[in-house]
Amino acid sequence: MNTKNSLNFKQSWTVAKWEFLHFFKLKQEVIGKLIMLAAGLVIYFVANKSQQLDDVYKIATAQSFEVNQDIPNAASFEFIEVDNLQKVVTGLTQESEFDAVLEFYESNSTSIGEQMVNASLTTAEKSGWQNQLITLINAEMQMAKFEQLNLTNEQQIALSTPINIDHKVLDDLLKNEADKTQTLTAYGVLFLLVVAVFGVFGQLFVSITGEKQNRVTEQLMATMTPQTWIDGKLLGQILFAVKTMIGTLLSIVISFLFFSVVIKHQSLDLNIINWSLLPWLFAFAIAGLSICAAFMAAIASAIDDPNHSGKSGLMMLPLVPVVLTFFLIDSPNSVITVFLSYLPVTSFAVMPVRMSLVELPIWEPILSLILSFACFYYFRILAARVFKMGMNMYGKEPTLKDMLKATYKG
Amino acid sequence: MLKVNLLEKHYQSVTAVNGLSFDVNPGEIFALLGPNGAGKSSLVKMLVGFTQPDSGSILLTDNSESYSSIPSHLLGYLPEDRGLYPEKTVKQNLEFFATLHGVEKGDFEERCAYWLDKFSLTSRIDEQLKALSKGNQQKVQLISAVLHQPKWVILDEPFSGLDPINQELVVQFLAELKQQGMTVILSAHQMAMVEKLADRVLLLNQGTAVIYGDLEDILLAKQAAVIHVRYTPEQPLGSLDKIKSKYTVEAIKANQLLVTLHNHQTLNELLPLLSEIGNVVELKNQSQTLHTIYLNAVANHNSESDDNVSLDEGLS
Repeated sequence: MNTKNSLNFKQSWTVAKWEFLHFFKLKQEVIGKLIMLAAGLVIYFVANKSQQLDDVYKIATAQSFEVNQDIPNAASFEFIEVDNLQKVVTGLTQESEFDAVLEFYESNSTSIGEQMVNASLTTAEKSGWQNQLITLINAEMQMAKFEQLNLTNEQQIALSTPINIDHKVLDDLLKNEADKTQTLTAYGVLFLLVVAVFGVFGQLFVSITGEKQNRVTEQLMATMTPQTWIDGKLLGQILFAVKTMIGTLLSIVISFLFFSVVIKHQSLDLNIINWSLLPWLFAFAIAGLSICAAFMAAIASAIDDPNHSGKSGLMMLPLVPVVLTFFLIDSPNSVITVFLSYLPVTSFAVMPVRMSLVELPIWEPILSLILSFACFYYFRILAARVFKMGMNMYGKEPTLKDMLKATYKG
Repeated sequence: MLKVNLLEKHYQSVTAVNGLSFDVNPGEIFALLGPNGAGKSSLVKMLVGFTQPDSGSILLTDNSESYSSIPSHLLGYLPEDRGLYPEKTVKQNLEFFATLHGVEKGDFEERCAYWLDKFSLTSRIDEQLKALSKGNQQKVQLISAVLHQPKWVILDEPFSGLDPINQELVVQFLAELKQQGMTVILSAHQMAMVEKLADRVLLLNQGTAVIYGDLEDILLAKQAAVIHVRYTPEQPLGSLDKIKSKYTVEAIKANQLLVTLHNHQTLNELLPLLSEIGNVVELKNQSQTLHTIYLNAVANHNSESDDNVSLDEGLS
């Protein structure tokens, strides 16, 4: 029995590799990855360069301004007192010996009665070094203020430490605005899921109907069981879809960073993604992909002539839950949403979005995942049954009734 | 040993296989013959386990193990509806099927080189399958069916679509499979090829066995029966009546007869009677080929079936 299982697994793995490599175009992949790598390198060097500040920037001020040289990047800026700031401002856009103009002005604070000093920085264009300059000025001004107030070291540290406010919303235990990255990540994964499902749809359709058209199916079935074949096919497609999702995610992240760091000269910020939520979302995405792929394989197996079959549209049914999720997003704790977050054919789309909006005990997503994979386990058996029935009806396309009958009788 | 007993398969109102019983012995080439729609494909699908019989049984015994169809690890199969992956190379196609059957890399390389050489395809190994002619594609598929050296090989129409030279190559291929100890079940319409190869035959018509047995015996039994006689007539003309009273006689052309000898009748008895009608200038054993045996048997079976239907209709 074990030998038989081991052979079945080896055969499934062979089919999975064959399926994966059939759609994996090495040349295109290498070119794509090289472009991504090049973009990544550009991002890294630009980000690194903007941190290092090789030059010394000359800043014009109306009055003398000196900074503590212990503050990071202090040596990269030279503050020069000038008589006519307005003249320097006008000259900034032309060839000028100055890179920026710093103006201080005083205002009365209404809240604490202390005199507050504000500043304005004028530059010809936006650049990474300006963020460093602002940080430097802030640090210097803060130190000056601490000295003015005659604060002890402890007081200075206490004032410098930001206050963390834990915002709990009692209504439905909804997560607060600080968790925006989770929602963004959940939607991002949903988007990736749609991309992957479309990919699986196209590939399974081409692959299964292609094998039927090329008359390979009967010889394949003489080498292994329909279940082994369908398992291999699904495994190959799921692996390819995961590759597509990871590739698309990397492309999006790199594109975003390229735009923000290289084009807009902003600092490198990877916190746009909630990395801790990502494994959960990927687990649901894989569960969803598996269910969709099994469903699509069953439909594709029943298509004899892809040019004239009316069943092709049915293959897109698994996308309905994803669309549904966008309508349910405003009521993440409604009875219907909670129900759909456990129903295996919808949970892969609904539960991740709920997780991003609502504080959930860990057993809820775990239970939902278990139900999803159990559903996939059963779906793949049904897909193999439909495939076997379709194969024995060469030249005649089974009706939906035939398919349903096959799923019951095996 | 493969034992098929009272096998039946129905598709709605159509009876594809009707109470069929036969055996296939290990190491032989067993030919399945029959016109289109005779039930060969339905039988093959049950033998390989794609479909289940409605009644009757298939029993394959191998090393004290019993199976209700030929299991995939013992089977090499060339289906009637055939094809491989046209975008993949010859090697990729062959390697895929060999790997599915658990053939080790080293064994694959060795066997692949051997069979490709036999079929003069060595230089095409890295070409896409679709670049090959139909005949060459078929040869690749034949190789893919036997790379794992199965004990049982079922080949459905292996000669169709091949030119005479390639048909001869396939004959040699099948002979070699037999030499290697494989049992070959062959379905074909090319009687000349079957005659060269088969040890035993099963002729199917309308789902039932019309002829079944050792090919040599069948041919011997039929070959001695018909004598082609050419003669110059005596003047006055002799009468055929004496001959006709003892033998079945058919005048095929002027001064030419086909005389059928029935059980235990010999040429010794016939010759004196022939001399009465003229000078016999040529006597030819009108060997019935498997082709004519096939045609006659199917025609007879069809007319018997029609008679039975008429009788049934008359009774009802």
